[in-house]
Amino acid sequence: MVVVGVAAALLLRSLPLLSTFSLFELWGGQVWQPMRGLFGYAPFVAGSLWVTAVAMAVAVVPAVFSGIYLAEYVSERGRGLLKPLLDLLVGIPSVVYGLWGILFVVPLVRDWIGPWAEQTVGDGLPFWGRTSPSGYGLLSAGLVLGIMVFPLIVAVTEEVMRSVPREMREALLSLGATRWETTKCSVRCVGLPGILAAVVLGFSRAFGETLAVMMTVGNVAQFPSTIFDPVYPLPALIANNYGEMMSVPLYEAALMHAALLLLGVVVVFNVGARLVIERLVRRIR
Amino acid sequence: MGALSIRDLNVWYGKQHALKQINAEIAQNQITAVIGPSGCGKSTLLKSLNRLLELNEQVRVEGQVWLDGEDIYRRDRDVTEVRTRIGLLAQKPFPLPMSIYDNVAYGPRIHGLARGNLDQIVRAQLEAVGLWAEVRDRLHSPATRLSVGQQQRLCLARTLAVEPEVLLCDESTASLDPISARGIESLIRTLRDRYTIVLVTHDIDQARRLADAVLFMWLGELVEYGPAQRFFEQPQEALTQQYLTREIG
Repeated sequence: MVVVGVAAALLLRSLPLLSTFSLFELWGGQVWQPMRGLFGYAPFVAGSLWVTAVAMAVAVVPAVFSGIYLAEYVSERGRGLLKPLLDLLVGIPSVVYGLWGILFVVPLVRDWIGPWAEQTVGDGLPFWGRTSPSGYGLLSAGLVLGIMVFPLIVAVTEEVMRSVPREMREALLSLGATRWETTKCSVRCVGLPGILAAVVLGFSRAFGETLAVMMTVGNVAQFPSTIFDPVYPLPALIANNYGEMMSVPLYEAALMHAALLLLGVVVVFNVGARLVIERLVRRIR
Repeated sequence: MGALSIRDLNVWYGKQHALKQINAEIAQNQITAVIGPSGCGKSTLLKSLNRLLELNEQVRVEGQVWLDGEDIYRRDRDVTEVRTRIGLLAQKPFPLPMSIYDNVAYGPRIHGLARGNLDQIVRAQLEAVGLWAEVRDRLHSPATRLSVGQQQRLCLARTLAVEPEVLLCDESTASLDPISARGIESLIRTLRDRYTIVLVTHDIDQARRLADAVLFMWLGELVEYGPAQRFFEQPQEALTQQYLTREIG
């Protein structure tokens, strides 16, 4: 209901824009110059997707394995120590992550990872040739974002694995399965849909994250040609510009439409994931 | 093959002393029934025999359980090997969330027993528990769609497919309807020739019907242990007499 309400409000406010341009012009348009009345969203959508993709590439595999490890292999006491720590990490305000990104990740990318990539892989690998010397860009924001969603995915994965019935664990172990075989079977037979849901949750969080990304991503509306390029994701566009230059015609409607787009992607992704998860659950049961 | 020897076995749950100094020789190719009121340590004793107890981090086990001349609690003992040789049929049937076929095939697969004739193994085990005729045309449908009685027979087939020497049954008929329970009982009786069977039950009549030897427990202690006939007809201990006549328990 809330989602429908928000979507309706955003749609209503972005109507002036939609009545002037076609969706094709808006979503396919590559130039964003509000003063000249050009509203192309493609670079922003691409920027959002890229940053999220980098974050997920960094976070998903280690987070899922950490979650499984935490649930299956860590002792009761160890878990008691680690779980509050995870909750703490989830609760750190994103502005703190953003500052940490500026102080630590950006210099790391600028002074270490960038030069290293230039000397070793360079243009040999697509997307690794270095172009931006500032350190602000896709990789920095992706790393910060990856670290932000990591504890979330770990925590949800751990919950999912802990919900595997004790009887099943006992049945598997009684057949002489090793701990690893038991874990594998628990993941494949029971945990998979839940783990997928954990990843989707991480994706939604990463896709909508504004502040920490805005502080480290460079904010240049372009299609990145390398992983060091600055981009300009949708949430940053809205946060940076709303409240300013409101006299420009259609500007407010354009930002509303950006928000609608953001919401749309998250909803579509969640619904799609829901369908996949339900199929998985049905196949298992 | 499959004789068990329990020596000075003590188990603690945290500070609670759950099994006190248990000593018993369990003969092979016999059905040994473990009886006693609930909470007396029957299931704890059973689960200490295939080292399933150690899943609980609060548990401390002292003493020895010898299987064919080797202590299963020896420090360097491979616990998966112990559990392969000592199978467990749980109280509530819990089919793995996979097909009927895969349930039976799981054990042989992980232990590399299959070698191409997996179909034969699955068929033989399902026949042994009298399930083959009922499921032969839906081997690849989910096991959870079977009735509870069928599920328990499937779990038995799954356990036997690993080729254990000892079969532990933890009140394995308690959650079944009377007809399915009788089915499992008669299966267990037929298995006596090939396995050493330890059966936990709170049902004295079931012990009377099945057991060759009976082990009676009370508050974590072994009260009386002996051949079934003597146990039921001339119990040596006053406590046993009272329990059998249902004055206590």
